[in-house]
Amino acid sequence: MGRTHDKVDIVTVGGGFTAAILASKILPGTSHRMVSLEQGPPQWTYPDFAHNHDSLRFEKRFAMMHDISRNTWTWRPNANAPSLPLRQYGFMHPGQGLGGAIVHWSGQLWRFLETDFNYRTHHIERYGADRLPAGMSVQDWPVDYHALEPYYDAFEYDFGVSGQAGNIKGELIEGGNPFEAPRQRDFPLPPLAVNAYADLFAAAASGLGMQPFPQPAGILSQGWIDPFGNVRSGCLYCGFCTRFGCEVDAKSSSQTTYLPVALNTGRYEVRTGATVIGIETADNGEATGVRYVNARGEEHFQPADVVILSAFVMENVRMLLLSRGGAHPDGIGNDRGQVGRNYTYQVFLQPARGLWEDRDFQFYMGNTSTVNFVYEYTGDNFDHSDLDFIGGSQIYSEPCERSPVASISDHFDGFVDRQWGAEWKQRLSRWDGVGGVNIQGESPAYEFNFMDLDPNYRDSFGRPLLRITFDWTDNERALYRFIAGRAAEIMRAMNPDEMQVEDELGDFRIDDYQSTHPNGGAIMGTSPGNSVTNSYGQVWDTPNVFVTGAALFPQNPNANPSATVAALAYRTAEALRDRYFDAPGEILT
Amino acid sequence: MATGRTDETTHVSRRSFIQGSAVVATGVAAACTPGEAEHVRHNGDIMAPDRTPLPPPRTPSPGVYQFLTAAEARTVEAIADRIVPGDQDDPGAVDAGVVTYIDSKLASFEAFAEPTYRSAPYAEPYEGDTPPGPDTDEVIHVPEVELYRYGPQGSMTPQELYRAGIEGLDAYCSQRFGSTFVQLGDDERDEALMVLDAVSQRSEDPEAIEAEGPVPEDDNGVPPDEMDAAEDAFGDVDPGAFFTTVREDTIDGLFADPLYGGNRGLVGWLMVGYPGVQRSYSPREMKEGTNKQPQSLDGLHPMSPDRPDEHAPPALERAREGVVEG
Repeated sequence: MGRTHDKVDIVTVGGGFTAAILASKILPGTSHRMVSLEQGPPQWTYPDFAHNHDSLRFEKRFAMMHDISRNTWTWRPNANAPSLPLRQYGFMHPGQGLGGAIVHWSGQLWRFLETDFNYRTHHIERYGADRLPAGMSVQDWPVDYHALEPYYDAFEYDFGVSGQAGNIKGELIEGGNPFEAPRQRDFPLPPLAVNAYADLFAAAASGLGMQPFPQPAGILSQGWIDPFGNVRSGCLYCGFCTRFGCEVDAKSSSQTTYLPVALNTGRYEVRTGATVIGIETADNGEATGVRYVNARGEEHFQPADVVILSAFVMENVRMLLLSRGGAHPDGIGNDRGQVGRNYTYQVFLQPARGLWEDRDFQFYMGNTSTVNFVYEYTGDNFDHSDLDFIGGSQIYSEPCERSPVASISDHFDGFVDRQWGAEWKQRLSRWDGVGGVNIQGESPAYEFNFMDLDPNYRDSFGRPLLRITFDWTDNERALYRFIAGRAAEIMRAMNPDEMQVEDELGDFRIDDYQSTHPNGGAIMGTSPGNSVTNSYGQVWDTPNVFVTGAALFPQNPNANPSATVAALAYRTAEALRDRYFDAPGEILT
Repeated sequence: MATGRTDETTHVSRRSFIQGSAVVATGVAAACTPGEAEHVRHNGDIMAPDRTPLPPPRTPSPGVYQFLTAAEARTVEAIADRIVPGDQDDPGAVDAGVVTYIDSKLASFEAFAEPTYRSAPYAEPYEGDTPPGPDTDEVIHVPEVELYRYGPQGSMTPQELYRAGIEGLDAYCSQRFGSTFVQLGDDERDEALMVLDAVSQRSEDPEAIEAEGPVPEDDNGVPPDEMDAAEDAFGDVDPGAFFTTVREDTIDGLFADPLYGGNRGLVGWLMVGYPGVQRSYSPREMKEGTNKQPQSLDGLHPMSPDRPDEHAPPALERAREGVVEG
């Protein structure tokens, strides 16, 4: 049975981004107590990130990532195919450790478009119901952009976001994203600088009639004191950002913003090295707390009034499925078979690449956010009437912070016949003269793409791994073909000496890194019949359990998820702080 | 916890290497000076890595092998030399110490250097439409043409792969050329490695796997019969996986920080025009380039030299109360 701790008001599974947001928003000014259980180690800007510019260790040996030797995910392309585990890192890089994946993230920070929220209704109204392919299970969010805008705004001003506004209260601002949903005010900080290649991309895109703009980023473009009084440095463009912790606090994270506030209350505790085994429930079905095992292998029970799943997408879904009790024979939230539904991903690739014989671009400086974008082909910003797909994609200049050890392997594919030997070696001097046009496209939801428990593979505690069933469909192949054509037009206008275009979307495979943006599996909706939770992430069939993060997204809008994850967490924190404890266990409305 | 590095011989060899390589060193200075090395030792606590997997506590010494036998090291050296060839004036993988890097990696990790899930069942590929038998606790049957989509699924550790792969390579070369790999000339070595490379590429090409009968040469001019012969000679080892592993390790050794034993004299970074690890660049440098001289981790100055001083203000985002072991 192990040790039972004193009961707290809230316990979270995971000590990452949303847990830190919740603690910092709920605890000050209240008397609540909150505990977070974090499987990874503690980590702080100083001294942990002070000297970490080691590309091999962080980019190829994955020092900050979730330990997949103990707990990984299996995958199969469809329900008739065998599933096998991801044995080594490939398509996505979830993190572990205090602060979560937001510590090693890239800083790309978008608000979703208005049509991302009323997705199904919008597409049916504009194009007709027959434009949704068979099996496509996209649905509207239970919250729209305008309801979330105040939370996006508060988050951006707490966290420190650098960018150029494109639409303030309906007024278009030159230099910003003309397609962004209206914001109530400008970003708190001006945009980051970009590299020479991003300038070339912008000039080419402008020449083609598009309106390029700099990436909005959760990375400070200059020194800043946030509303909590945290004093932070601007970005030094050092070139070691994604998959690294930031040594100067310029990259916004749980550590830079929320943890100091939350821990200063004295009523927040994060227990590291603590792996949650499951949520316990009473006979009446309500959650009573969580069971976990610490780094010494000792079992503990942490009772709580409210249990919040604030781990990464896949672990949140797995924890719901693993937490079976008398009242929840198929797991928490799964009384109507909704858990695991609408797993989505992203079409995240580099369709066009160029090589310049006599130009260098300084790709090794800066970070993933020191780039320019175009939004002309994002979401439904372009007319799909005569196209054979729905959905869109961001198009942008290849991210920076390139390191030789993590980039060389396939860098000259297509530019030289054999990827080794004297001729290949001779090409290496053009390392900084090769650049791409990247895309981050939508992954709509389908009935046949989902998550459940794997029947064959288990984690180091003997519990089933999560199984992902996912593949591309003709819609994504057509989307890719169209977007790749646009990317190639931009690349051609950039006038490289040599150019490679990948016209077709290849087979989905789990060994190639794409993006750490899986979504769904515990989606939010308007009723227990179409979702696992309500718009607050409150689980319909177990109302003292909440879910945070991108598992809530009904489908994937192409942009990076972090700002929307945060805005939803702000909204949930407000409801928990101001309303939930007045009527515990009731569904929030 | 590992501390600052004290291997003076590495610094010496690095400097002498640079001095002997004027062509490569054009426009750049040597990476390390004795002053910097001293400086790093002094700040060993700041150098101390915080997260696993760690770099080796000391930079591995050239020519001293911990895992590979002398004969195996010669074979790995011969392969690395064809992947990134070099000579006196234009150093390649071997000059950079890649074999030292590979040996150190193999000796440092019982299995894999990166987190790797190693529980059964393992994948068993099959040809055609029907699996040859039921799945078991040990084996899951997967169509051969689909296997590449699942990423690495082999059960062999890198130590086993190197040991058996070198044996397989020699078996194949003996069969085809009548002598072991190291005894071959450069052209024959390339021919052998091109076959291994082609096997690797074929494994990701469903059409090539399914093709029956004689097939035209692949892009590199390797006939499928030759790939089959290599697979037979390698036995239980996948010749494609062996080649891609050595190639990837060669790249890692050539371009990782020199503290891992390769990239000596920063030759890998000089090859691609990379100034190594720096604390900062300006927006102007992102547009126009930099004059910063290449440097490795042990030349990187400490982040906040004033912090050890008791009168300095505390670091901002230091550890806070309330984060405890579970």
